[in-house]
Amino acid sequence: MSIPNEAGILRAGVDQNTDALKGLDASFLKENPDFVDAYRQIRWDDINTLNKLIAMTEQLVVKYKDPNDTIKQSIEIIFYQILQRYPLFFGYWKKFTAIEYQLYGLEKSIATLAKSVEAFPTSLELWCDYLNVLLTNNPDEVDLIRSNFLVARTLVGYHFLSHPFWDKYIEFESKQEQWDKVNEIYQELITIPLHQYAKYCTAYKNFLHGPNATNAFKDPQLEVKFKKTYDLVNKLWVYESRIRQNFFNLTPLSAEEIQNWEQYLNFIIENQSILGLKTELIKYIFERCLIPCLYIEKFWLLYTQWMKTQVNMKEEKENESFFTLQDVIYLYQRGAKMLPVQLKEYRIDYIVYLKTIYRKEKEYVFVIFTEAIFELIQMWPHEPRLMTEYLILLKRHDFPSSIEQTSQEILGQQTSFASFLDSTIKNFLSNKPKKENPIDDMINQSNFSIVVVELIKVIWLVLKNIIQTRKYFNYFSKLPALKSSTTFWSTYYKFEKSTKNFAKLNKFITNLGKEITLPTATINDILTDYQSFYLINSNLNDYQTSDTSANSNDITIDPLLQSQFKINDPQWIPEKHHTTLRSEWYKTKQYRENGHVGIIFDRPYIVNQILDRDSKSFKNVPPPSPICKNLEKINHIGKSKDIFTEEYLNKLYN
Amino acid sequence: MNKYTSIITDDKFSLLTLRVTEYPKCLSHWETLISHLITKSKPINKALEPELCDLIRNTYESILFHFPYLENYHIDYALFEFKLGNISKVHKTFKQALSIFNQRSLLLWISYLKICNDIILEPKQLFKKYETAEKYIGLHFYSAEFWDLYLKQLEERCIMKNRYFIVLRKILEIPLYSYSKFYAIWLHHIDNIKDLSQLTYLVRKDELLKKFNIDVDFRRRRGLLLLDAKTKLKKLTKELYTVTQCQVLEMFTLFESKITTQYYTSPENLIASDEIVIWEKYINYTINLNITNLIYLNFQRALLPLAHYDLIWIKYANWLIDKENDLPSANNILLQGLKVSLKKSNILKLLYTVLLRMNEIQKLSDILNELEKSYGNKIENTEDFSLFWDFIQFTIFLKNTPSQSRYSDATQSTELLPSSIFEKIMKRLSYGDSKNGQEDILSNLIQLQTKDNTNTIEEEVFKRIIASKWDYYLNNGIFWALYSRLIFFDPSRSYLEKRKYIVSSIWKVASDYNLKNKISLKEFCINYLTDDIEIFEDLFDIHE
Repeated sequence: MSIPNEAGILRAGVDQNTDALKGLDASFLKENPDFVDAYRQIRWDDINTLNKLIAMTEQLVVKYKDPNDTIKQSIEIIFYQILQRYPLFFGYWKKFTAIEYQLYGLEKSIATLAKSVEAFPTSLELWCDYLNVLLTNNPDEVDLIRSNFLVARTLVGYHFLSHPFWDKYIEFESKQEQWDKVNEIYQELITIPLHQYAKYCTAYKNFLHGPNATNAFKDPQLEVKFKKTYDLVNKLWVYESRIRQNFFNLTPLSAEEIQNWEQYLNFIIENQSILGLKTELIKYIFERCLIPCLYIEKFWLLYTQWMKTQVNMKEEKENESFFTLQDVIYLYQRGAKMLPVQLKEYRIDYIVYLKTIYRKEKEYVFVIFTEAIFELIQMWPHEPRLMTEYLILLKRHDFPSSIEQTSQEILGQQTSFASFLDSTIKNFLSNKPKKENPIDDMINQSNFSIVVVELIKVIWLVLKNIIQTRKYFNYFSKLPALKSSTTFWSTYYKFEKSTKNFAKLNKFITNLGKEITLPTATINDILTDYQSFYLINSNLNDYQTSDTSANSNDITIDPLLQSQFKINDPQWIPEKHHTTLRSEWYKTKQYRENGHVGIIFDRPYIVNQILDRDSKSFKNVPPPSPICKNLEKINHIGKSKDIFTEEYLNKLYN
Repeated sequence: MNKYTSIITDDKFSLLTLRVTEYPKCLSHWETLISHLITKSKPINKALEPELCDLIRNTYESILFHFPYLENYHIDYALFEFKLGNISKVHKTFKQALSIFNQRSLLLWISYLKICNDIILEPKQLFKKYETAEKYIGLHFYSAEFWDLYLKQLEERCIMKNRYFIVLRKILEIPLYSYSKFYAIWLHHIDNIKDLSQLTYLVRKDELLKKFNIDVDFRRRRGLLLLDAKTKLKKLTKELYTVTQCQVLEMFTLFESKITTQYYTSPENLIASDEIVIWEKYINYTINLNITNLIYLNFQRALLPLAHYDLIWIKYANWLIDKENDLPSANNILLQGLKVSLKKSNILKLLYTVLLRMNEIQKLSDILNELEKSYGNKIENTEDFSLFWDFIQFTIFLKNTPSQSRYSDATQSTELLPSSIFEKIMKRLSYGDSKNGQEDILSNLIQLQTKDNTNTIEEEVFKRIIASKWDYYLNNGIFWALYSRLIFFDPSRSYLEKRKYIVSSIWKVASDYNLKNKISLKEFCINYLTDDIEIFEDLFDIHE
């Protein structure tokens, strides 16, 4: 399927960031403000804006009978941008084909259809269109057409409503008088549960009794097969009849529809062997489900789970299976690419799967695993766990060692691993990634700490170089990227515990929540653990000397009494280090948000308040008359502080 | 037959006394008994038989011993003495009662002061009581009744009106439920001022001149000036009213209106969790208002309904430690809480820590001993894991202290812990799944690791458990993970030694058991022995 490419647009893809309107002359843009607006104001999650843009683009073709190359190119770019993002919009493909026909003629439009079935291979409509066009316009290219029929047969032949395809197919082979082929088609066809299965039973019987049938076509099991298909259609009809939306759309699918698919899929999985369902059929039902349900994670999970059991069955029974490990991996890759970025379960499941099959095909799986982790880190740069997973498999693959080996060999591997990690860190810190190291493309501010900790673990626990370990801790603890790394600091904490260095540990818990910003739950755990650790390992003498409250302005948190105040309040400091004056108290956040956290309300107050003074203390002189502030603010509506947006979202995106 | 004999020979009395002996913590039985006694003894006056007086006294004492926070029974008791004419006993009873409430009981003070109004003739002496009450309960949201009493006495007993107006002026600033009533009084007084000179009760002379531009010694027509002064005073009052009103409304809508139980009930009465939350929030709110007296007062208020809940005692003690740096008071609060709170372990832990910080080692040691005794020296049998483990931890801490020879055992370097403590720990561990926290104990024991005691820990803990065939641990992945961890963190072994030992001596043994929590052991393997994952998977049959 080679495709002429007059407009100079690459088949493989148009950059989503390309400005489709670039190069159009100013007068054209001025004449078509609606079109320009529709393009500029497109919202990719809003089907209405897409529909509008397509409609505007179609109007251009109507308006300009013979547009220049720049306009043609713009139109094509727009379609490609939409269809690359959403290849399952078969209606857009049809419109695109029509437009290509108008702009460039027949050949280009056929090529577009060919592309459409490549991009959306399970679309019955697109295949029928494509085959129709081929049959009408290139009737002599029998081999080309036949090969396309064969491809389509495996892709859409099991669609419950695929009768138009089969009609065409039979008609085509009949015309060629390929009666063997026609018979073979019928043989498969009558076993497929189709909406119009009955029609084909009759047609096949007629064919067998007709002039073109030979003795070889006779089939004593025919009625049994008909009956079986009949029963199956009845069973599937329960679910098929409830499918309202079988096409892809951007608006969420209704709950009933989702439930129906779920029931349908569970039904066929559970009854696969009882009903003797063909793997192709089940696969195709899954594929059909994933058209309207493309963005629903559980269906991808279900599909993959089912496919995995098919592969395993093959291993157990040692018979041929429809699927291989590679098929499962391709499916995972498809799902991982398609699902909305915030959905994690399927992608994590993929990683777990690759880890479990690693031992079966180490080289191949490691390559795939590396790619997968790379993709996921692009998607979720703030998920350090991915790097952990990668390092584990990388160690197993690139620096393996076994207890059977000599100590020299084993330590050699560990040392190489350490220097590998060390150079990775250096490359990252000096911003000089090496092309040949995939890890250099994966390491970022969020997962850098994982590599650091891995290095420290090797140096400390494997190579047992305590001096170097301490050096590393000193060096890395100063890097801003590690100030909020739970892994790094919990390793540090473990290390200092192992040396029982209470001065350092006390300093560490003091810095928690201030210089070291870990999640509150983590800080709570450390504080609780440290209290226990301190009690069973330290003693009263040390405790008494640890009390610095008498001298200096250095804050050191007492590990037993004060440390508990930091639980759930990591920024807690002892009262004497608070700098707010009593008279300034009304300015503090605590006061202004009092009673309604997050909403600032400057309540009226008395500057020279006397309510906490004993009346006797005034002797017999009246108290000073009150000075009231903020009276005018009494009717102000409190300002709500949107911490989530201000502190979190804005920081994340800026 | 006198009243006393007829009462104590009565069957009903026997029945009622039997009940309270059987169920001393059931308040309703006590209530029936005391009201039975009071009814039968009527009229109560000086003529009441001494034996009967003592019987009633003893009954009151008993009720209050079991339920020290029942304000109304303290009052009843004092009133009983009042009816008998024992004035000094009245004072004593009230004073004792007030000390139980850390002087902060509105109800007690009001009743006490009402009686004082009648029995104390000397104004100075009486006002001293009012001044004390003012300090402790003056800021109570419902203290309007107290202030009414106070104002009335000032009005009746003082010739000079100065103090009256000072008190009234102070009340205006207090967020009270009935705040507006005092504004009405204040405004009424302003209206009634007939002469400039009277203004000095309300505002200082110098302020009148400076701020109000009014000279009280003005010699000519004073009427207009007075009118002007009144307008200005009313404006000021209005401002003050706005502030107080705002404060009252906030307190009322957010908290006070949602609190239904103001007083102590009994251990049998549970407080709705919503209400506990409200109290907590109210306390936080009060703390943020930063009015120290109010904070003390509201803590004390919350203590009554929530007396049986540890959280309020702990919150109070924490505040005293953190904000007031008052360890002795925190200590007292915790001791009080320990008596009534149903859950003790958290209070105990904080108490231990406070005592350590105060360097009250003897007291701490006493409490630990007392606690152990209360469990018949078998504290390891408690269901409350943290109670047990805190006891162990703090005992170890004391014994770790070398110079405090009185509390330290002569710990030999080969011994992990003093044997008395260690055996308690092992005994607890031997209970397996019938007690909780076992994994925590094990991981704490690992924390005792130093550079040369790994073998001791292994022998005395892990190998002993294996030799004792305690299934709970042998079938538990966490046990084996902790064991592996112990060896892996042994500073005296080389990497290869520990790796080989873990794989061939620990995992091989573990793989003979049907492990639950396999995941813990797997996590150890992934984190520390990545290279041996395949051996691990084969040993424990973890495949796809």
